[in-house]
Amino acid sequence: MTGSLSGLPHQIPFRATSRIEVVDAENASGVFLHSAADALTSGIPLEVMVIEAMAQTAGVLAFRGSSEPGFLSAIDEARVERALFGGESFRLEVRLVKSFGRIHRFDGVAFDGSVEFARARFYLAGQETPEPGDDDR
Amino acid sequence: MPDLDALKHRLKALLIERLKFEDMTPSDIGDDDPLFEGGLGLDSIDALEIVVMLESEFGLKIKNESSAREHFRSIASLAEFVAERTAPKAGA
Repeated sequence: MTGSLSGLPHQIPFRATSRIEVVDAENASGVFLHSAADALTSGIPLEVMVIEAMAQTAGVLAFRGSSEPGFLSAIDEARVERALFGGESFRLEVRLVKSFGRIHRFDGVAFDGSVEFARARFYLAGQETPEPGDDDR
Repeated sequence: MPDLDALKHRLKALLIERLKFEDMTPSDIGDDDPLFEGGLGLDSIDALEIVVMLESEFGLKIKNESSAREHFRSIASLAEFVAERTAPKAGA
């Protein structure tokens, strides 16, 4: 199952993720590709863009099928293991931990091969009020 | 029925830990202090973290946002909710 990058509110040059695959209702994977040109033009620490790419991957999963785009509400516990070098690529894995009301929490990890490069917790907020769920009793 | 005072203390400690309240102790939070508007000032992200905490610590699943709003009003209401939901069923 492939997610739609066109559904993101970010497009080039602001779209950080290059490919997204929705695995199931709670998991998605993506790819962050860095080119030498990025380092010359962005002015943003490149490691931050890997975090952003994970957030965008989560956004595709959270808001697919929604008529209104959501937004990134918060990032917590972000951690980057080392500096990023030109030409590197990373596999992104995000997991929906919990949704409550309009807020969705995701945990994301970026891998260099099998080695963890970065991780963060993301909160995304939708604009639509979901239908009331089952009573919690 | 579990000891409500002990449960309130545990909930306060869990909130401080999960929501990363620095320099705060359980004694800084009143049992009836509003957790959201006009009190501790929690927001919707904090509400989600309370939901995650209730599930991981007490095995309680919260799906209904409107009923949660009432249960999440204060530590006292949260403790009553947890106590009621975790109490052994009569005849069980």
